[in-house]
Parts: sequence; structure tokens; C-alpha cells
Amino acid sequence: MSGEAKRYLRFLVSDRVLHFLLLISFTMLAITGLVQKYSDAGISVAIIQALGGIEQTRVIHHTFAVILIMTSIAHAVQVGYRLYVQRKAMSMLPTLGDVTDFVAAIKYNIGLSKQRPHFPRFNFMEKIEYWAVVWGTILMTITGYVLWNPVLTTQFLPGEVVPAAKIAHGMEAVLAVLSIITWHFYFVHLKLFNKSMFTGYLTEEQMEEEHPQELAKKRQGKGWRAPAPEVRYRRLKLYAPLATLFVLVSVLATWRWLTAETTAITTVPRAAIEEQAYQPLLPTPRTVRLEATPLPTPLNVLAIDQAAGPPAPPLIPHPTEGERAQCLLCHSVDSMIAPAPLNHSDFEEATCITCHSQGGEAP
Amino acid sequence: MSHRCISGNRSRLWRTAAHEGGRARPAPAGVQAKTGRSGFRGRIGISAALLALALAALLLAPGRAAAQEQPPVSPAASDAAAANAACLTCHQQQGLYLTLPDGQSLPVTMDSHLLDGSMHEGLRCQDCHTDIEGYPHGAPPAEDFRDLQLYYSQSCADCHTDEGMHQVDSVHAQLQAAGVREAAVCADCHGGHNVQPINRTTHPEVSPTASAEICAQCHSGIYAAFEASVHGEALVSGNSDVPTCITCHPAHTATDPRTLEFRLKSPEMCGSCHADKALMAKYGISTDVFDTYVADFHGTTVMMFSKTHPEQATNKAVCIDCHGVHDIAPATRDSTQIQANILPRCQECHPDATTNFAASWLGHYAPNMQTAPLVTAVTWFYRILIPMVVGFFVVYIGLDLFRHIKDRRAHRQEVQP
Repeated sequence: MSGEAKRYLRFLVSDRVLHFLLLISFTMLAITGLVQKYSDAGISVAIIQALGGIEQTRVIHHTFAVILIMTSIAHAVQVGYRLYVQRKAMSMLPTLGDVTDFVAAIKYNIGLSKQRPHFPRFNFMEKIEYWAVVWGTILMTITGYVLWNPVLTTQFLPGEVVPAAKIAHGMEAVLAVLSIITWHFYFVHLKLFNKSMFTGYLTEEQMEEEHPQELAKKRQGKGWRAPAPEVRYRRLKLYAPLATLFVLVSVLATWRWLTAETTAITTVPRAAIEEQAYQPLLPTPRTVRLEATPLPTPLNVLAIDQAAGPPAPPLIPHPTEGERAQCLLCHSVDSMIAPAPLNHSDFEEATCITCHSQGGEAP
Repeated sequence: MSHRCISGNRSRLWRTAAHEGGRARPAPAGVQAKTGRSGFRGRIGISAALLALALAALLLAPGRAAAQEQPPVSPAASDAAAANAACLTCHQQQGLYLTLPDGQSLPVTMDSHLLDGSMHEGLRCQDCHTDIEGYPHGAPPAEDFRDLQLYYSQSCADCHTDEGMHQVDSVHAQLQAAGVREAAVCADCHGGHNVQPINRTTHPEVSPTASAEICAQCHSGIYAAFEASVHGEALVSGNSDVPTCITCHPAHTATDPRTLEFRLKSPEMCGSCHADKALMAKYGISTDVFDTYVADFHGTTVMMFSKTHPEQATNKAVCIDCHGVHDIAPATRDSTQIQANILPRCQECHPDATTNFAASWLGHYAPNMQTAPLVTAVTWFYRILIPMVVGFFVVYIGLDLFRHIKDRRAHRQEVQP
């Protein structure tokens, strides 16, 4: 931009700083809030994950909520200063002129009129947006308070206020984001990229297009004039203490808000459900002591005495080929050659070698 | 599936010889091979039959290994009976006892029809008692009876590989690993010799209460609470739609229900039935319960936790915090009763909660003008306001853009005629 080009101051540094804080806090609040409203969407899960989890997301949301509230307090002080101390015109108030401007704009846009609307310092598009932000911030602050302090709120108000506040908070957020994406983005980003909120200035051309009434006033020197220093000082003597009181009260109220209620925010460890899980039906189901009954004498050879170790079955001292494979030919219970013990009387021949293996010396 | 178990090689404490049999190995053949004995010809028919079977099995073995997709050929019961005859030679004797090192005497007399009618009918003794090779058996691998049960329960996984793998992660297995010997192993639920089916999906003839009654053997206190609950009452009266123990604590994969993960996952467990429209329609229960929970602050948080940080603790209420766990009572539509029940639950986490606070929970039913006029009004206010405002913006922007483009085109034509 050349230094020669005529430009008009539109926003003071304080305006730009507050707008920047609003921009940041609004964006962060929208992101951290909408992911909670639409928490089942994949993108929400990804964002929450990236922000460090749902509790962390809420901490960020609360932090920017406080920044937005502080920004609003600062703006209120700023507006009070301009209206009371500087006695600037209440150029943001809606007027009848806005209605006629709106009709004129429609007529011009659809080609019924060749005359552009003669917009003042703040045209009706900007007024809509400003008052939408004011309305939205107040509503979000009130409903946010309810959601932040549900236990405290319900000590004075019926319980239904809490779910109602939650719905209003979420839907107002949707409305605000959609408004910004349509109205704000179109008028200050798409139609022409209006950088005045960052640089502070509009070019003469832009003034002509958007604020011809204000431009005309400025050219005629009919704009606002600063009050005399002594007048300003007199007014400040009243305004400064009042504004300080207002800031103190607001900040204290916000602080009280933050610390009023802890149980809905901090994590009270949830006690594990303590149930006695192991309660067997039988007193000692797995250690039933089984009493041994005395064994009949011929069988007790099979009762394993662990102290002595199992009795070794005698080895077969001869080859087991040919007819010598037929054990019971010689070794039946009633035979004369190395008879099997009596308790073997029911045993079948095939099972002999299960226990008796070949080896040892022939007697 | 065959009843016959074909086990691979394993190493064990109580082994007298390496388990070399490989696939489809009848026991006597294995014994012969191991002891190096050959040429045994039986005078009695059973010997020949055994030998023939052994040879047949050895010949068939490579073929079976090659065709792995096909289930192993189901052996005739007589095959197992012949294999078990050797064991029963001794173990059929009355009054046979095994004295364990702790002094306890364990009766080891077995009936030849021991496995008849069980899931393991047709198995051989050595399919599970894999360590027993011939006689003498050697010292038992156990100090006491429970030790012996734990030892033989390891055999199950040889055939039931999937269940065995899962069991490793289950809370019972974790407790076993931590040295809690009472923690259930396979045989505690399925039985030792008399193995009976429990799974109703594969065995619909099993009673709906069968599995819960098995759990009750050790968890009798919890079972008593469950039995009196809305689910338990229905189950006992023969309703198989209601959850039983293993619905929420799957038998082989049951994780520790006291963990944070379990707590976070619990709403989805309830939802698996309570969001099932067809199932809930049978009982006139609203399926909104899950959605209304998730839409609420607690539910949103819990679902987000389970998605992003399942390991992190959260005190946000889950289903069981208000409804109870095993003692779930039937829900009522009487809102004052609900609020009276709910308030103490709220106060567990929100000590200053009042009746009004409890009333901020609108229940599991979609709010309407009667139940929640303010919520309904606010909802409708925005349902109308949002489309109106955004619609106005879009229409106005459309008109403005139309004019803007037209003006620029005219301007360009003026500059460059």
C-alpha cells in the first residue's frame, strides 16, 4: 500500500486486540465444544484424542471460556468509556435507517434500484453480527454457568434447567458457528478481504463501498470531536472508579464461578464395587478328605504306599517269543511256575507286559 | 468333531517317558514301541485285535496328517475300550487308593463306563492322563488333590487349543498364575471324567441356568443377588433371553470385572441387549436407554473415555452405578420413584446434590411437552431459529453475491471495452 493512498482509521489497537482474543477464544470454544456435542463422530474422537482426552478438552474449553468472559468485560469497559467519557455516537445501535438500508440493499441487489444503500459507520450487516455475538456470549455464559455448576444451580432452580441449558448451549453454538461461516466469512473474507480488524484502516475505496455515509461525514468534518481535556478529566473522575469496581466485581464473580463447585468437575475416585466374589457353596469343595477303607489282603499289593514307593513288578527273565509269549500258559494264578498273585486272577494275558518288562536273570 | 484327542508332544513334570506316539497312536502300540518289545502274538483274540489296530493306526497316520482339514476319523468306542482295558485291569479293582503326599487318600477305582454319556465318551484314559506310561506310574505330580486337579487340567488345552489360549488371559488364569489355587480351571466347571456341555449355542438342550449354577459353586453370594434380580428371576423361570453370568463375564475370556476397562466397557455390555430392538420389543422395553445415556453428559464422557483412554479412571456414572450390578431391579416409569432412588446414587459423587439435581436427569425416555416442557421448548426454539437465521443469511448472501458479480463484470467491461 502506498503511503499516499488515503486511508481511514476504523479500529483502534484496543479493538483489534479484543477482536483477536475473541477470534481465538471463539474458535477454540467452537472446536472443543462441538467435538463434545457430536462426540460419536470419528473426527471428534480424533480431535479429542489429539487434545489429550475428554477431560483435557474440557479444561481447554473452560480456559477459553474464561478468556472470552474477560474479553467481554474489557469490551464493556471500553464501550462505557466511549459513550460516557468520549461521548461518541452510539453507532452500533439498530436504527430505523437500518431497515431502510436493508430494503434498499435488497432492491439494489435484485436490480430494482440503481442506488446503493447509503451505509453509516456500521452497516446493518455488521450490526446483525455484533448483536448476534453479544446475544450469543451472554447466552453461552449463562448456560455455561449452569453446566459448569449444575449442583449449585439446582439449589435455586428446578432440575430441568440443566438439560435445557445443555441443549441451548449446544444449539446456540451451532447457530454461532454457522453464522460465522456464512455471514462473517462472506462479508469480510470472500466479498472483499477486509483487513481493517488487523491493520486498523480501510481504504477510501472500501469506505465508499461499505460506509459512504460515514465517509461523507468525515469529508465534511462532521465526525466526532474529542472532548476538551478538562471535560474528559471530570468525566473520568466518575468513570474510572466505576469501571474499576465493575471489573473487580466481574472478575471476582468469574473467580467465584470457577471455584464454586468442585464435585461436578474434579474426579472423585469411584469406589470399586466390593463384592465377596469367592463364596463357595461347599465349605471346602476342593479339599474333601477322602477316608481310605482298609483293603482286603490279596489286593493290598496294589495299594501304593508312597513312603515305601510303588512295588516293582517282577521282571520277565526270559525271551517272550513263540509260545513263551503266552504268559498264562505257565504263570496263571494257579500254576506251579512263578504263579501270578491272587489279585491277578481276572487279568488278561494281553496286559501282562503293561507292567512286567523283560530283563533280569533266570532263577 | 471327533471325541478322540490327538495330542502333540509336551513336556511335563510327571513323565516317565517321552510322549512319542505322534498322531492317532493307540496306547498299547506306544508302549510296545517305547519298550522295544516286539513279536508279541496273542493267544487271546484281544491281543490280535490290539496289534491290528496299532498297525492300522500306524499305517493310517501319515494319511491323516496330510488331510488336515478333515476331522480325524472318529474311532469306534471299542477302540478306546480296548485301549483302556489295560488301565482298567488294575483300576477296576475295588478299594484302590492313591495316597497323596499330604496324607490324603484318593480313590482311584474307576468304572469301565466312566466316560459313557459324557462329552469325552470314546476317549482313552491316556488322552488326558498323558503322563501315565505303563506300571509302576511313578510318584504323583501333586502334593494334594487340588494339585492333581490343576495338573491334569493342563491336558485340556492339548485338544481344546482355542479355549486354552483364551483361558490364559482370563481372570481365573491370572489368579492361578498369582498362586490362588481355588481359581477355577477347566475341570472345575466342565467336570473331570463326567464332562458335560455348558455352551447353549452349540448345545441348545442345556438348561439356561446350567452355566450360572456352575458359577454359583464358587460365587454363591453373587449368584444369590443375581437370582433375586430382574434378570435372575427370569432366568430361573426358564427365560433364555436374559443375561446369565457368562453373558457379561465370558467363560474363557472373563477379565477382571473390577478393572477400569471393564467399568468403561460395561454400558456397551448392557447395550448389546438393551439396544436390540427385536429383543426389547418382546418385553416392551425402550431401546432408547443406550442412546439417551450416551447423549447425556455421563454417557458422552464414558464413551469418549473408552475410545481414547480406556486405562484412565473416570468416576462418571455407568449403567450399573444407578441400576446396580447383579441385583438389577426392574425399571419403573414412575418418575418420582426413580428420582427418590437416584438421589443417593447422585450424592455418592455429588455430595451436595438435591432433589432438584436428581430431577435434572430426565430418564431414558425422549423428553416431551409433559415430561420436560422447558427442554422441549428450548429444542423447538432452536429447531426453528437456526434454519430461519441461517436461511436468511444464505438467501441474502446469494442476492448480494449475484449483484456483486454482476457489478464486477460491468466494471470490467467499462475498464476494457
